[in-house]
Amino acid sequence: MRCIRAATSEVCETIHDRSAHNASKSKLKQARQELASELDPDPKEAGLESAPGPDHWNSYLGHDARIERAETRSEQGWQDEQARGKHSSTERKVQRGFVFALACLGVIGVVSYLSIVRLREDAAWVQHTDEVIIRLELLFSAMTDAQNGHRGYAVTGDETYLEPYHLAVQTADSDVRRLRELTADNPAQQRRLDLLAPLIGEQLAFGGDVIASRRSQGFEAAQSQMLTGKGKLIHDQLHGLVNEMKGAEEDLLKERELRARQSTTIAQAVIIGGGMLAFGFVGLASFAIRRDFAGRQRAEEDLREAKEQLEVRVRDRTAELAQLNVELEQRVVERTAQLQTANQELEAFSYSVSHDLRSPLRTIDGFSKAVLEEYGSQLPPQAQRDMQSVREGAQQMGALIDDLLTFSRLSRQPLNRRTVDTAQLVHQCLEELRPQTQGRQIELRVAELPPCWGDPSLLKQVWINLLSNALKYSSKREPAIIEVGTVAAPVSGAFVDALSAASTNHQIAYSVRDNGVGFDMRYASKLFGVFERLHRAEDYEGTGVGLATVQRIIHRHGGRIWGEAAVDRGATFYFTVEGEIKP
Amino acid sequence: MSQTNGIEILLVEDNPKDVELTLRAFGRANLTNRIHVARDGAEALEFLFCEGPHAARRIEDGPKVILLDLKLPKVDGLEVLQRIKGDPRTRAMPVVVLTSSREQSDVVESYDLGVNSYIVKPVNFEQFLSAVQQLGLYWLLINQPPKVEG
Repeated sequence: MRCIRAATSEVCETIHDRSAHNASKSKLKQARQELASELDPDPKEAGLESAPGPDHWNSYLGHDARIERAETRSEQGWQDEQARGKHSSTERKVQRGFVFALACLGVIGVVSYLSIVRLREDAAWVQHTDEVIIRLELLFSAMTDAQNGHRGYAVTGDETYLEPYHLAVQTADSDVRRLRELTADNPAQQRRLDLLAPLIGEQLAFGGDVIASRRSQGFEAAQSQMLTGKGKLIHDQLHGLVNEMKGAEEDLLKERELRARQSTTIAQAVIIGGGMLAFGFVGLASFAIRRDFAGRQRAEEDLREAKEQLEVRVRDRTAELAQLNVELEQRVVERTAQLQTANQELEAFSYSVSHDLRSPLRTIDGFSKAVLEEYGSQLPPQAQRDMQSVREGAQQMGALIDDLLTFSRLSRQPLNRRTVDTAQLVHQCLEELRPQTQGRQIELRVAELPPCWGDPSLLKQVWINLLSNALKYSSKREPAIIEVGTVAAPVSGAFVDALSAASTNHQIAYSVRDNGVGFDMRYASKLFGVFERLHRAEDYEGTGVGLATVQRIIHRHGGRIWGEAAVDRGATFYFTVEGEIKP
Repeated sequence: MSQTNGIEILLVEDNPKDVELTLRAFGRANLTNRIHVARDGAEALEFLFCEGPHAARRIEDGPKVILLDLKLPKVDGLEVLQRIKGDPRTRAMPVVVLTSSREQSDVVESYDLGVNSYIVKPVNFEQFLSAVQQLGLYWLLINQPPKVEG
């Protein structure tokens, strides 16, 4: 019973199938990730003002939160099951329900079979008892008929009265034998039969004596024999014994009938109770199945809802993206037009600067010169020096304008890449810079220089600027040492020494080193700014545009440039050109 | 013979200061008496094609060299250049662009239109003087123009 109760309670418990739960959960998660990736805006691409406003994102977040809630809901359901300590699956529970139901039906079958066997046994016993009683009665009636026979013959002398007597003599033994067999299992009846058999013999013997007397000595002899009362005594004893046996058999019959009724009642109870139990187990199992099915249906419904929501979101988002795309394309067209306009304006501006700004400078310089030449002798020395300063200022500004125009032109001029023979290019630049080196003691050390892939005219500007800087800032050294070479530079970060050149993660950087005044590394960040100068104008002339120009060219080539120096201990500039080495 | 017959240099320049500096430079080279100055493109074309005040002039008696600024009022320098080189009567006249512009587009377009020389005016007066003297000497003395018929 404890076992049945446990099984019942187990089947009764709410069943949320763990696997169904997990499946729905993982589907939700997957759908959510898909949505997230769908909705995830790449900030770099979305960019600009056209990126969706905060409202957009709130609605996405809201949606996300809905999914989160659904997930939490199912998670809570699972946790509830966990709290009940349920791990077995619905299948196992349903299986158990059916197994118990089958067990009940089995028990019912066995009990029913046993009951039927018992009933049949009982029925056989009843029949048996009836037969014993009937045989007893038949025996007794035969004996009574025998007595009546010999009496009738004694009175009348008619031989026909002797038929029942003769019949009884013939059958008495077999009747007693039959009774012995029927009551073989009953010692009490056997004992009674032991008494019965001699009585039958005595009665039949007495009858024989009476018949013999009548036949040989006549009526009176028979009458006197009968009047002894012996025959009646024997018959009465016989009667009493038969009744006793019948009573015993009837008691036995009652007892057996009672037992048969009891076993029938038990069988009925077992069949009804077992049937109800089986029905109950089947009912519980189907209840569990229905609950589980309902749970699955709910989960599927949730999933379908979530999926529909997702589809709606995806459709909306796709539409938004398409709209956004159209807007972006429109914007690109507009921006391109704006850029073209700006570019045209810039060109017009450059043209204007180039043309109009130089004219007044030439006027200033020209007329200052005229004044100095035509009236110089009349001017005091201070005025002559001042006029000279005016001229220098004008000329300096002219140089600045030229450099600036060169600098701005670099952004617009298209790159015309080809294989550049760097060694030859450097040689050519040094030739062009020869006027700067006249009268100076200069030691030039040019190492082997690999070719690169770039715009020759722009790279020439780079080498001219770097080499002339090296010459300029080493002008106070005797001798000035200028070294041109290469180092292996890591793809990002600072350079390493040439020993590590073998590393694949390095690229060749060209270097220009001088033993000049150098600069303070604290100001290294200012090296490449337009108009940035790290030296006083009276020490080293220059416009402060040269290195900015170099950097712009290198950057347009996709390369890097950096400098290293210490005050009064020379400076080294390194630069790379992206994809520099042509195989 | 009209007065214009002796004109050897046509200077087309709108900036009076530049005109004065250029004339001074030519003065140093003793070429002042052979210069005509046009202050804009239209004036230059009138002179060259003998229109308006210059109707009495013969086109064939053109200057030995035309010094042409590019940025000019009314008709700009490139258009003047185009007109000169597009007309068979004036095509042979040497034109030297003398301008402040070092824009590549200007240089390329000028040569496309058939300019004979392109000189960027230096800010430094000594360099400017040197440039003007050299081009005057070259085009007026060294260069041999074709003989004009008629």
